[in-house]
Amino acid sequence: MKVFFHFSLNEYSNTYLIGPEDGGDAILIDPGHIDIELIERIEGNRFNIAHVLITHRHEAHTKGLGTLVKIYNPKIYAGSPKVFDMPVIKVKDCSIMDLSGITVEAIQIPGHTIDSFVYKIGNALFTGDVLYAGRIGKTAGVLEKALLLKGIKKRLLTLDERFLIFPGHGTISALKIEKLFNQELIDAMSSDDLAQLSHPSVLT
Amino acid sequence: MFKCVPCAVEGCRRYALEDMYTCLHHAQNSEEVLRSLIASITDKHRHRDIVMTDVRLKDVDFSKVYLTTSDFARCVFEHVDFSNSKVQACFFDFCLFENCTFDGSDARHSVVAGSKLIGCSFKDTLLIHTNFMGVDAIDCDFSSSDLYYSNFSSSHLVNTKYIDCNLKNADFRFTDRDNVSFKYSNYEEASFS
Repeated sequence: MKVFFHFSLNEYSNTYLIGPEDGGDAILIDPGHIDIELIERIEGNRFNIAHVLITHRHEAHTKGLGTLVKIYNPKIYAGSPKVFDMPVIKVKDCSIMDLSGITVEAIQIPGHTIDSFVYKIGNALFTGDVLYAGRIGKTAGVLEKALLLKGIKKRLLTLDERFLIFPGHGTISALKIEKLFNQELIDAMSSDDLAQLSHPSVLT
Repeated sequence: MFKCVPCAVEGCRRYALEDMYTCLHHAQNSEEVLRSLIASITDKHRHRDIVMTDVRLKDVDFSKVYLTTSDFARCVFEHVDFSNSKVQACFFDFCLFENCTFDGSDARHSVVAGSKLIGCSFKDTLLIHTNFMGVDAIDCDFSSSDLYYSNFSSSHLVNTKYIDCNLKNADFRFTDRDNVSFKYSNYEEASFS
């Protein structure tokens, strides 16, 4: 399996291209912006974009979808029922998908947005805006932040710390690095933010 | 990307070498395997997905090597010359680098987090999107480098120079800094708080 990293100047977001060694059907994660460099990388590796995974619906992660659909007509997987009025296959929490031979596990961690998903492929976590190197996702309020932290704590920090992290923005990382040096995460986990989860509106 | 296949020896948490069942330490004739790995890396061709963790290397010439998506975690590098190399999306996390040079190299998208850097030179280096979280950098020089979107958060920086660097979107939050110079760099475009 090959993993390529593509940096988009559109809101400084990251797009990831994952495909088999010898070319064929490939996965693109978060098409924030499709440019000639990315197309050349897809074509140069003899990939056909058969599947697009959306970590969440924000434009920085989806804006290139229209271009991509015109060229490759891929299946789109997202936590929202629609992205730019395009039909999508709605991803469910804990679902395990076989996308042209590549196994993808979907982990729903709301907080940054309600439809936020982390995709686990092999030893890699594609975290979107849930967790970045040195930061946690931005949230609209205290309760959303508590939800996000609960998800990170229960669903990500319990995984083997050797998992690599490929975030929606910024540098690549690893779970061990985030546990040791992500001060935002460390501070939030030790603060009262998690206590907000006892609020009734989070439980309903 | 390197495959992260566990070493076949029970209880070992290292990854197996590419096309082998064990890590370097549990390989039969590990010194010979290491020599052949170094020889293949330095043949000036492009290599990817190399796993060479927990190794001590001294006075090795890795100048002009071309490596992508490889794992060198927890290695000790003493007087290793990476100048004018391409080491893209490689993992050098929790390593010790002593008197190493990366001058003129391209280390974009690599991960150096948790490492200790003593007397290292990164002059005129492409460090775009490079993760230096939690590093201890002492007597290091990053001058004239492109550190666009690099991450030094939670690091400890002593007698270290970032003169005439591109620091747009670089992250220096939660750092301890003692005698660190950002002269002629666009530090106002970096995050410090």
